[in-house]
Amino acid sequence: MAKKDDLRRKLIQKARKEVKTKYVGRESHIIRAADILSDLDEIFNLLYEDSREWYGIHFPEMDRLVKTPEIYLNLVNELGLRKNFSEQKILKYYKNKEKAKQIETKAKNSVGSEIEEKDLKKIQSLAKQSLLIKKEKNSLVEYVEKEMKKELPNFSNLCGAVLGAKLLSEAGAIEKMVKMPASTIQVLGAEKALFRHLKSGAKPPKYGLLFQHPFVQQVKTVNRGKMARSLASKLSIALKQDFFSKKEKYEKLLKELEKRASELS
Amino acid sequence: MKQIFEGIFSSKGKILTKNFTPGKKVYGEKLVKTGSVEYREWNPYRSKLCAAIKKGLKKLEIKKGLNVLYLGVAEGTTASHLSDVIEEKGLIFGVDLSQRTMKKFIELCEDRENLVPVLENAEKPEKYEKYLKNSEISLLYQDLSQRKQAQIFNKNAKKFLKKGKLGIIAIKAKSISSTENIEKIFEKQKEELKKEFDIIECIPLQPYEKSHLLCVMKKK
Repeated sequence: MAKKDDLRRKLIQKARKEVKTKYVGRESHIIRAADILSDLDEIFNLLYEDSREWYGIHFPEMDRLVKTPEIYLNLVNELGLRKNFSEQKILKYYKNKEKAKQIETKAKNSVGSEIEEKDLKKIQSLAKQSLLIKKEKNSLVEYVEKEMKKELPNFSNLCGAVLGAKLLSEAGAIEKMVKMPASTIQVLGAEKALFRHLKSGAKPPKYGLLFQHPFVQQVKTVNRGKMARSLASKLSIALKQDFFSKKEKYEKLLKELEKRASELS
Repeated sequence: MKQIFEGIFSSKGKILTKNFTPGKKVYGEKLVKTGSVEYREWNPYRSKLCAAIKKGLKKLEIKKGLNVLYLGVAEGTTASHLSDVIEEKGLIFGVDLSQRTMKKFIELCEDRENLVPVLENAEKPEKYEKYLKNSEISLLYQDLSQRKQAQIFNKNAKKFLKKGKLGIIAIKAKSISSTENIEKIFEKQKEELKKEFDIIECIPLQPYEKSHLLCVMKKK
């Protein structure tokens, strides 16, 4: 009995120590951040939609005039009631003379109903919160960019830090991603389509997350699959450069990719 | 309340085990009190062994005081119920590779005197052989999502199980191949297991788990 207890205590101690000291790679922080990025985007869009809807009771015309979320929220937050919308004040937050004039005239003869101070306060606080979330997101993007440049300089220069971090999050770990063939990188993020293809012989996916890459976006629609394939193979090379040599030599790859993109567009 | 196997009860369609640490929950399950004894409800959607019991497992030879080697404990949901059954004289070695789930399992181990954490790879039994040399293993339980599930099971069985002892494995078809026919995968895995074991029964775990098979076996 005592022996058994000793063993148990010893093993618990050992496991505790091992869990605590086991190396956690830098990439786990990047992956967390990349996952949170898309969450923050979603939250921001939801809050923005809500504030827009609510403020629309008071000033529905602004809905069609201001399309940029940050500007809309800033106007609501800083100016508040419709009667405060003068051209000069609007110009502070929306640097577009023509639009500012339009907004002012619309504000003067709006069909929206009057609202009370307490209602406005709530709307404004909602707008403020959404702006803060946007700010948080931007600072997180900066963080991801910095960390990706440090960990995978060649890769993130070719593919963009945020997209690179998303790919890394799909792959799970840097070492895992480095060992992936280019064809796997090409369809990262399209697992559902890939397995559907393997299982039932449907058409295979041409790209997963790589669809978001500017090179893939800029070429002709029919050539997107080709571009994604070239891009994935270059990314795979860049990853190997990062992992095994740590030297920056992405320029050659980037030139080749640019050439390929111009061929295909 | 009816006893189905030693230490495992059923009441109104629910599977229960006697709580080894009264008053404490492990994973948010319900606690049921009958008289002075407290039972824990066993959720078949969270534990493959319970799913098998629900689907009519005929024979399960687990009892007080057994030593169990559990490969792939994860957070210890199933292990906690096994620990209810074997009580203080038994011992469960919970092997898992993931440090993330091991953190939770260690906490559980501190609460329950018959659980032991082993942070090792189940594919390499020689690494944790030394801890097990003083305790005779009577049950080998495996729930891993690895491609070589059956091979790993056989390797461990060869090292730790004596003739006539019990082996239980939950086979996950999806981690072996996502394209092959599920029945075919199970057949192949059974062939592999027959090298070391006599299969007593095999139970598919629908609807609790998709494409899983739980096999109860005796060592040859």
